[in-house]
Amino acid sequence: MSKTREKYPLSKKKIIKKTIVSSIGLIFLMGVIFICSLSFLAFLQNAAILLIALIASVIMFVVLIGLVYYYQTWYFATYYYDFTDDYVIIRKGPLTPKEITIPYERIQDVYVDQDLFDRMLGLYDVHLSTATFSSGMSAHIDGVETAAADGLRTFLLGKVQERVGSKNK
Amino acid sequence: MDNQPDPKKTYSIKDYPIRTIWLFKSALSGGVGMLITIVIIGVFLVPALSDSTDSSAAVISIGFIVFAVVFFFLFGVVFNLAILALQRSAFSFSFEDNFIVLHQGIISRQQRTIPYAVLQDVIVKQDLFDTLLGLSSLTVENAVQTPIMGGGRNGYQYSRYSRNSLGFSGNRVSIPGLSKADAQTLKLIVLAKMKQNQVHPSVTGL
Repeated sequence: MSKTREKYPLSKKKIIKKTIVSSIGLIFLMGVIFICSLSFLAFLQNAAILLIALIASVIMFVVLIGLVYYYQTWYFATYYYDFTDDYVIIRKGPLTPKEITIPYERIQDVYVDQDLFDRMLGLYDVHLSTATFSSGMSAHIDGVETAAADGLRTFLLGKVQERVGSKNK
Repeated sequence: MDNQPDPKKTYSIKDYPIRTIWLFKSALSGGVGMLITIVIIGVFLVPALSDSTDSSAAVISIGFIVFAVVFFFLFGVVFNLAILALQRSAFSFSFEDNFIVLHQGIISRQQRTIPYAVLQDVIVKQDLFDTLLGLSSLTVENAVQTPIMGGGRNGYQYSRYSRNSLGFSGNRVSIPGLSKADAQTLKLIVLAKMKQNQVHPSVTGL
């Protein structure tokens, strides 16, 4: 756990948010499969098989959500971000880690946003970007609460101003 | 092993080679995807074929198809492997004082020189098999504008394939197949050289 993460920590609510989003996606998917197989099940005209299928799908749903929750906990634990003297390092992903390093001088903007579920849970997503597109997609710290989000944003903007802005004077 | 990389020294591919195991991993993972597709198609084809009246002919035709699939898979993997090996031998990088100098191309040779001052970020990543094999992929990007392919979702510029391929293209230089330690070392080297080669104060960030 880096000093930056201790000072501006990720919120545990992030795990819940990701699990909820996956659950909704899963419900939608299972709904689609159910509708597609409806004609097939009606043709069988056997209530017992219908019941078994229903119970099996509920069990499968619970198991999958459990797996998603476990994966999100793992993701949360291995989420690494650090603001060193010269650059920002963000490393995400337990199985397929991706690490991006951005020097402060290259930061083009810092923005903070919330999607629908973030708003419900009071979380923010802090984005950095450089002049490349893929940095905008992968250099972000999502799932921080208000205090941490403001702190991160202020710190980053301060650092950028120090490295880039003052030289223009 | 030096803790702080020396920004004055030149580092080249000779010291940080692309591992041979990456060639096999890359060729196989490309082939496996294709194989799964063929198997899924085959699962639908088999019942259709077994409808024929003569059962022994059905068995022979199924056997023939299985053989053909395996053969084409192996051929595809070997062909992929050969291409990757050629690409690797044609590729070279050198981290000099002020620039990165790169060469690539099997048939048509290309040379690229990128100053450190314009590099935007350094990315080190591993996919699932890389993690198992202890490999990493290093990517550096500059601010070149690339045409946006595949319209629709704003700015989805690259297919997954080109993101992991070896060499330079558009705004990035990708060096996959490095060992984890080498990738981290090269990352520190690039960052040190970037710091050494700052832009003059009149330009902001680019």
